[in-house]
Amino acid sequence: MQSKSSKVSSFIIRDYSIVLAILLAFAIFSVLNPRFARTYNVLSVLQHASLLCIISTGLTLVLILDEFDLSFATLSSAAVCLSVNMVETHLPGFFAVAVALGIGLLVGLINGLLVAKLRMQSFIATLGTGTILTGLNYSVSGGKTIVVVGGLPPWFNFLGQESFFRISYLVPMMVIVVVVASIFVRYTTLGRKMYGVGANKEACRVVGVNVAATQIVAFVACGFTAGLTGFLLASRLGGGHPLAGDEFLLQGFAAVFIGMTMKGGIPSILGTFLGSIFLAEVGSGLTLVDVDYTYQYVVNGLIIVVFVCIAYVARNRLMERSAAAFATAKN
Amino acid sequence: MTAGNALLKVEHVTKRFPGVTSLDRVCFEVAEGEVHGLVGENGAGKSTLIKVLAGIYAKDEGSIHLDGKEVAITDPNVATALGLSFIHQELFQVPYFTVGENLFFGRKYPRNRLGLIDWSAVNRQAADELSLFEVPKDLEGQLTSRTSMAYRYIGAIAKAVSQKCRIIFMDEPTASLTRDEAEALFAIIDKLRQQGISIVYISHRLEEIFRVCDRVTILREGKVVGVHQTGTVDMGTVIRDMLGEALLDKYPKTKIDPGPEILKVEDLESRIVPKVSFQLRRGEILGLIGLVGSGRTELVNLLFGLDRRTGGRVYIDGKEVNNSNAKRAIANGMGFVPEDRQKQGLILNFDVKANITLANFMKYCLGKLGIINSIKERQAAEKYVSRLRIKTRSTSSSVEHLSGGNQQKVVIAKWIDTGPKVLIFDEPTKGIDIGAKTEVYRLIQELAAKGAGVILISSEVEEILGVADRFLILYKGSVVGEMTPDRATPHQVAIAMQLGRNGNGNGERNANRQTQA
Repeated sequence: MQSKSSKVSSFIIRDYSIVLAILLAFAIFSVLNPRFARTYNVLSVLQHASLLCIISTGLTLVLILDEFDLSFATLSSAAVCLSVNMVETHLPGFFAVAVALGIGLLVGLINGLLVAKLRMQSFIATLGTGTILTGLNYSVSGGKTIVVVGGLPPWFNFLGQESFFRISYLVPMMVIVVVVASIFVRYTTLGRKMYGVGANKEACRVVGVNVAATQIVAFVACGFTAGLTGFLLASRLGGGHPLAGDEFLLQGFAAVFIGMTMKGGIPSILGTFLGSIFLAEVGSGLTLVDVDYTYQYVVNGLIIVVFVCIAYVARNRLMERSAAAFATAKN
Repeated sequence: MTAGNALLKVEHVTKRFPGVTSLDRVCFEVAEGEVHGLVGENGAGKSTLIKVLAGIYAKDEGSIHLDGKEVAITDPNVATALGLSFIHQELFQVPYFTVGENLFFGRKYPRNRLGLIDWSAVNRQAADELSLFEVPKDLEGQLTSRTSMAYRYIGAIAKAVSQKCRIIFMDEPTASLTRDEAEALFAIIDKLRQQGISIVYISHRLEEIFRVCDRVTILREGKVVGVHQTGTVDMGTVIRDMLGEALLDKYPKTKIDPGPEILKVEDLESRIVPKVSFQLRRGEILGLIGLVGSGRTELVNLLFGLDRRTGGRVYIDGKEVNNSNAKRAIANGMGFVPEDRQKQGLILNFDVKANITLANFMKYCLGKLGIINSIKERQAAEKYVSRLRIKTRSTSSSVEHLSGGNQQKVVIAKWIDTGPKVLIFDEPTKGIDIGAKTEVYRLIQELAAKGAGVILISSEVEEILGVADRFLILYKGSVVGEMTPDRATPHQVAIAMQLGRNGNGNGERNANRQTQA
């Protein structure tokens, strides 16, 4: 039977259409409004993309496992509120960061245990934890924007609002997260096992893979990035709001799904990165072209639908091809 | 080719599941450098034995010894560490990994100084391990989903060998290989045996067992019924051991005069099913027998509209029909009792009466609005429960906890309710105890007596001979012969299933030779 002898590593991107889409969108928006192409705007887009990318990277791990996390967005909102509240208590600055990361790790661990040990469906488990968090967010913040008397200390806003050479500090943070995640997924045993479990959970169990460990680690990582994003978001906004991070829910999944079109329907860290950039780019472009804010939702929704279709068609074809090899050989 | 000492000894291992004893004091032995075949009908216990040895199931009684020492195989990693490698039928490889990546999945990866996986070392080592076999260069870098089944299988073997395995268990290895690829596999098995690696070869294809194995162990209903040297035993004896004594009083047979033709299939084909033609008369029970993978389910899926037809014609009651989907098929008068009753035949969350009325619920609705008349539904369900003797507390109990036999009766009741002209049964008695089996046969006979045409798929020779009026033998996707029970012995049929030869000519000759031996 035909076998293509190309040294294709499973990590290397094989479908560049997303890069094409980014470039195409850039071209279109620049023509529609020349201000789009200005350095200032490009850097602004990068800054928007950074936060989305950080939180989506954790989500990517969960999706690699073929599970869902519906709680990460409200989790980041919780991290926002908690870290701002921490500042009010005038405890050392370290605590504000710690509490954001801490809640992220804690909720991530809870999600992981629910799915791995109690064998709950991740969709339902995280829907539950997410809803609880929403309630907590409201009660902690009283439903209003948290305004800190006297404003937030400069160190708090540093990462979110300052920049070096006009590039926001959020960008290198994103790069660090993406690089660490890429290394984990590609160069560690646990990372490889995550792909295996996502492909066929029962098969991995049969082969002796510790499926529970992969699940717990993925959900904890997702919680961690949610917490981190929460802190950075608070830093950027200079305040806290119980719904601050909620918008990441849809955009996060969108970013990962867009990235899935890159590797035959499989989630990937690099794919998510490019997906975040694409979403931020389109969001900015539409604003500059004076598209009504509400229409942006429509566009975002359309993007998600289109890309998810492409991603799943690609994934089905990949699975089908391997099943077809099975069938044709049988006859 | 002399085998060494006993390497693996399974002694009196018993494994019970609720309602059935899958392994009953099974004793099994594999010697060093031996190729040992394991055969038995579906449900005989082959996969259970393998799963116990693989650490997937825990045995209830008995002991397992390796190299004379008792071992406890508590999970798959322990099995691997002990040198037991398993190549399952489904292969369990990740389709979007490369072949080399799959070779190392679950193993210790070579690391670089930073403690990270060193991919160039992985690929180099994978290439080395694969070079022991005849594979194209750079196979390790190829995506598994783009690799042929044969090379994927070699990858699985390479993985086993590289993990210093002592016994490789191959479950239906040639199920997805072509003739040539199977030959190449046999050559590899021979090479492995010469290196002192033992192989346990599980297969339905007795021809291969005799070709490749030194010894063969036969399982039937959870017990070991025979261990033979393949050099000295003949296929007839093996088949007889597998099937046991035919209990013909298990099959209530009433003489039915077949009526006019109710189903005619002419050159029907699809992407998977080669051209097939046959006829079925009212009151007739047509059997379809063949090994697993011989294409029976594919054929009836095509008949019932679950697969796309690419050619041919189907006539029901003289009229040409187009069963393009299940709904059409039902409307045209066909019913289908599927093989996997839990997944395809029932809705486990629903109760008995809902399942019974499932295929025909418009009948139970008030007007055309689709609101179900629950009184009518319940009455109908109760009628079937008593007529079919379904053991359930009430028609409102969930079907989930009914026994296999009673679940099957619910599925059958569902189809009887649609008043079909042609009813297809796919392995209806799989996983059902003897008593319930007889009742299912009685039902099938009843349906035929009422004028339906019945197609019965089975892989149990004795079942087909006991129930069908005539039957078609399938081999590797095509119909290779047609027989009637009164003119065929179980051995003839079994041989035809195994070798694909038409039972009328050669089959008969073979059978005579066996009985004379």
